[in-house]
Amino acid sequence: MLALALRRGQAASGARAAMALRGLVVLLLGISLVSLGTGAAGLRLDDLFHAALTGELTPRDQVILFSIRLPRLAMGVLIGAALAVSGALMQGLFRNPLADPGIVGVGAGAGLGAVLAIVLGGALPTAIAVHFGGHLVPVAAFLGGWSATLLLYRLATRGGQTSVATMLLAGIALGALAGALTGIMVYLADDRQLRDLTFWSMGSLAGAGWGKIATALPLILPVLLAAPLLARGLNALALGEAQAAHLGVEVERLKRLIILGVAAATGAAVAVAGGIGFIGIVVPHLLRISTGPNHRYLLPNAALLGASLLVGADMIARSIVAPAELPIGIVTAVLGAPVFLWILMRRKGLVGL
Amino acid sequence: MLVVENLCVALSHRPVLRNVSLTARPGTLTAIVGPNGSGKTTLMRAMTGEVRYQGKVALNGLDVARAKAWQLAAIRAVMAQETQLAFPFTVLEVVRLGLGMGESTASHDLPQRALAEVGLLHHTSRNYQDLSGGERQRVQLARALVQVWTPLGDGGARWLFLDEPVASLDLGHQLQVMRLARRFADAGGGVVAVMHDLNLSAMFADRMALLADGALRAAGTPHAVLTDTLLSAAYGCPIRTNALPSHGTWLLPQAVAS
Repeated sequence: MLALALRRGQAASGARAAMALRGLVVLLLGISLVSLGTGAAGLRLDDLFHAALTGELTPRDQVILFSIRLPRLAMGVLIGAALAVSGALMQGLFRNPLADPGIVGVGAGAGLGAVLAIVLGGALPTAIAVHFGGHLVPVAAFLGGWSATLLLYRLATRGGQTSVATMLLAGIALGALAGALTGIMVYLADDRQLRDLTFWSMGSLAGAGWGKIATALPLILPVLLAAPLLARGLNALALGEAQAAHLGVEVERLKRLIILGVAAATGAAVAVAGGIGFIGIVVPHLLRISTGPNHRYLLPNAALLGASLLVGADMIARSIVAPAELPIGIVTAVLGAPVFLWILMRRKGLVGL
Repeated sequence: MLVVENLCVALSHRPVLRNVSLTARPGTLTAIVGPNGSGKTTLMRAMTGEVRYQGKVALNGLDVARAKAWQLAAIRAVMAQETQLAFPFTVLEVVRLGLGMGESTASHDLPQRALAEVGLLHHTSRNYQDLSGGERQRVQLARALVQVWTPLGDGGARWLFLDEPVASLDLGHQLQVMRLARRFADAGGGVVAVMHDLNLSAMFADRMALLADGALRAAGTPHAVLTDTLLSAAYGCPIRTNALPSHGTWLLPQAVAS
């Protein structure tokens, strides 16, 4: 994806956006390095450099590096990129800078799935519960998000044409319904379950391991790789569906690809890391303001910035109250919201939708 | 060649067009005229494959109802009455959307040339959303031009479908845009334009089609269509046409004393 975007970047006119791409690669590499050297266990960046030079790393440090920090970094990169790219795709599809993946029902459906699993999971027959092990909540969250999206997509599609306006309205209704069902589950939950689901809803990268990454990667990576191929269609879609079709874009196929791709990527992200807000809206918006709305650059840049921000937020989440951890959703909101507001206030006049 | 045969369109179960048949040849400019609500824009939307219809529309032999979006996009460009842009793209980026899939990476100057043609070359890096209505319309025309400017390799004609291309333009830019459409036709392309201004149509069109109440009332040369009787009946008010030997037909709408 990067190589593709770089090659195109040199030929096309968006020199600034192409430059931003290189800057964001450096930013992500830098944040990743710092993140590897940060943690409660006291293994620091200079220890890692020393180990890289001498090839010596104690078994304890090996475990910290390869089984804790590296998978956590990889998961932060993967999920940050997935959330930001999904946000950019949704905003392009709905032609609205306020859209986020939640609009297609992923958030509400995943939330309901996770809560059902947390509250009713204990009632499952032992054979099934053992089979899922610790994966019951992520699996239920993914299934919930995915089926909510499919239902919404079916509701909004008539005669092969999908109405994004119907999808938006039906999504609000479906979200309210899922919220009510979630409320019932919360009402039924005991104290320990309440604590579990509160923390789930705030999101966390804690417990990241290569197993979780192996689960999420096949759902997220194809979407990240395919997204730049949709750039021309998304740019044309900014003129409206009819104009995009006149320009040769297969609009219905484009809509289907985006909706299912976002449901897969966001569903997987929410399933393994819980509800992490703000990345999907703030990242594309920041990039549109600084380097323009051309999706050819917006999509790869969003992946890089989203990954950097989430890795950075996770670093703060696990070091600010070390050895305990803050839920990462709190960090992204506490950092994201004021930055977002500051950007909005700094701009002259009001932001037109 | 554009062939429309027995075209019927219903919108929300209400018939909007009834049995419209007309043809247009490459190298000509066809103006579709008629009063408000006569079905001009619906005819345009049917011919470009935007609404479902009964009957037949074929462009260069391609069945519009069955053709893929990219097949149609390769032979014709469409300029809508109004285009709302969702994000703050620059003028040049909007015009570049007219470039095809493979062309978009090529570093040719087609978009700049099209912007020069519509007199907006010095506005390339401006935000499209900051432009006036007339400027936006000319940007959209440039985008449509870019899509079909270069002739097809197989010698087939390319087409411009323009829905009220001069609607919000001042007199000078109206003439500029119509001359541009005229030159496109003279170079071998086909132009089909929905027009409100009968005088401009008379000046630039080879053929005219007059719609009223969803039916085709007349089709032919401006001289044959712009007659007192046809226009008075279609527009529901007395209209007198005049002719200058050097300039063809011009009109003088007559106010009705009620």
